Amino acid sequence: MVLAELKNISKDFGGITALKEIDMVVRQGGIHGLIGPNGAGKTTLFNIISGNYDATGGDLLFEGNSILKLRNDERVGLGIVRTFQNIRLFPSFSVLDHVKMGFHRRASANWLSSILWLNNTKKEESWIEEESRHLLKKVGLESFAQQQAKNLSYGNQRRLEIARALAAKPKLLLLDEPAAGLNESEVRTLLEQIREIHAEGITIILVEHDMNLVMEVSDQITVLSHGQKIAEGSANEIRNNPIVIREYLGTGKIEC
Amino acid sequence: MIRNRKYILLQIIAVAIISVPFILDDKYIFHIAVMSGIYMILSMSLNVQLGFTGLFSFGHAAFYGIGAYASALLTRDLGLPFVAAFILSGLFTAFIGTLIALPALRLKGIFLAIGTMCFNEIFCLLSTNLESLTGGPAGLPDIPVPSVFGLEITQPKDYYILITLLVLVTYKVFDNLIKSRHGRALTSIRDDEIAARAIGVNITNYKIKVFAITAFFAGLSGSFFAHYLSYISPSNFALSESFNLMAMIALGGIGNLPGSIVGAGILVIIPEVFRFLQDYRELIYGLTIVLIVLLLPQGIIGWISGLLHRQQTSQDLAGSPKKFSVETILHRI
Repeated sequence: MVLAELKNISKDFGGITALKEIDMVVRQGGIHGLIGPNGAGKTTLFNIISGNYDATGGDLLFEGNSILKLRNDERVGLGIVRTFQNIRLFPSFSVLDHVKMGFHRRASANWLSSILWLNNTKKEESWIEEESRHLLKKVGLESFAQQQAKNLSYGNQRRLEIARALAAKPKLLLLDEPAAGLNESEVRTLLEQIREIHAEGITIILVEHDMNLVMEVSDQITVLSHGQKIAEGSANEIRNNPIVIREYLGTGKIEC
Repeated sequence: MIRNRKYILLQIIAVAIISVPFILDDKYIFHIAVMSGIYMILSMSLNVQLGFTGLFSFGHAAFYGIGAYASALLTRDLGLPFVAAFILSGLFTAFIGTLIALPALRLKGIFLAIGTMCFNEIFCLLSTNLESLTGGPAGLPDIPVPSVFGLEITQPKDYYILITLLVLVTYKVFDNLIKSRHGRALTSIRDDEIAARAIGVNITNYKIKVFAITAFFAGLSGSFFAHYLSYISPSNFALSESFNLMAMIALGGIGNLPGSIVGAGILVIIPEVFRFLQDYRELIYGLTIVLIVLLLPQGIIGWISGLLHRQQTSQDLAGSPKKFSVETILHRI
């Protein structure tokens, strides 16, 4: 089962080609790793899938429909939710409010109902509150519920960002370097969390520099370099792929 | 339990303050109270726009003016009853707010501030020069006295009751909005647009709606003002009035709804208290604002609730969430 499919996706920034004709198939229920050296275009590809950037060419299918024309926030409604490489939390929000924010697209009470605090707003708000607390408990942040997110440790901020994304009930979760800046034990917990998310049937695309983490969780890996796809396959295939090894380790010649 | 007691205490204080003019029973006091009420509605709506959504609008006085002129013309020249004109002028202002929002939202931060400032100036120029419609610089006299369901409002006391109700309704509406998912969405836009979009907030839509709803309430207060004074002129809605409103919300606390009520109250009362200083009272007015911004960057209410929080929980060092200070705003610009 294919959940998302990239066809010939290209992206130029002025004269610079960031991505060149990328094809990629994301299988339903899998964990898809996306690796490559710095500047390979991993985050650009992410931004195109999530809708932060428009692709210059190609097409992007999600559940069989082209979504390239949809805005970022509309894609969230379809179930494509992302996290950011440099954690993006809301500085003035409490931890609980962050998770509540994740429910934004799942709630339906309109402005009039909210302004007059009608029954459906009342019901919806208490549903969001309850579900949010439940989710916080699940990720182990319930004791921080009323604290401001900016006071959390770096590792907990990461976890909160993922919790916020989960609150939106994603079908496809895009994790942009979730292990960046985490210590050894935090990476372990993150690994657990990724496995749990996966077990719930959520498809994940993972951009990551921590090779051990990527190799351990991904069932499919795409390798990008200089905006082009150079390899694709299972962790083992990638590990032994000569092109990938050359890209990462160099060829042994010293060039001056 | 403690929260409940605090809530009751707040209600008692509110009732006490509302009843002060009745105890003093003086026309002049009632007048100041009515003017405070008008500014409370204006500053609350501006605060939702600036403090909660982070949109720097310096054109709020223009919306106030549009409401005032619309209501005046609807009753005076078209003979509509006050209640109908009141609501229609609110809706009309909301409509203009939407129209202004469409081009204005292409601008960010300080550019939006300048753009909305220009809008305020355009409004003033139009109201001064479209003499056939607005009466020009001489203004519009003889705006009919409001009557609510057959009851003519003539006494300052009646105006006071009416505006108090209006302030309470406005407060409730904005408070509900802010507590709801829409309020969270607005605040998320203020905090980080990219993250807000990434979690599903349709930013353009929200900004337009916030322009519309805040313009609606500015229009309502304009309508009330017009019928209260029964005379309006372009100078009532000049750019300086927009700055005045900005000062009110900075004083009470940016992103703090009760703060806007307090801020508006204080800045209407201060010039009156220092009337004996004649022209020097402007000095006091300015000095108050500068001191507040320097000493209490989170505004009066932000400062008080900060104090309360420090006593309550030593754990929560950062105090209550949803704080937004003048400093952050300036930093943003």
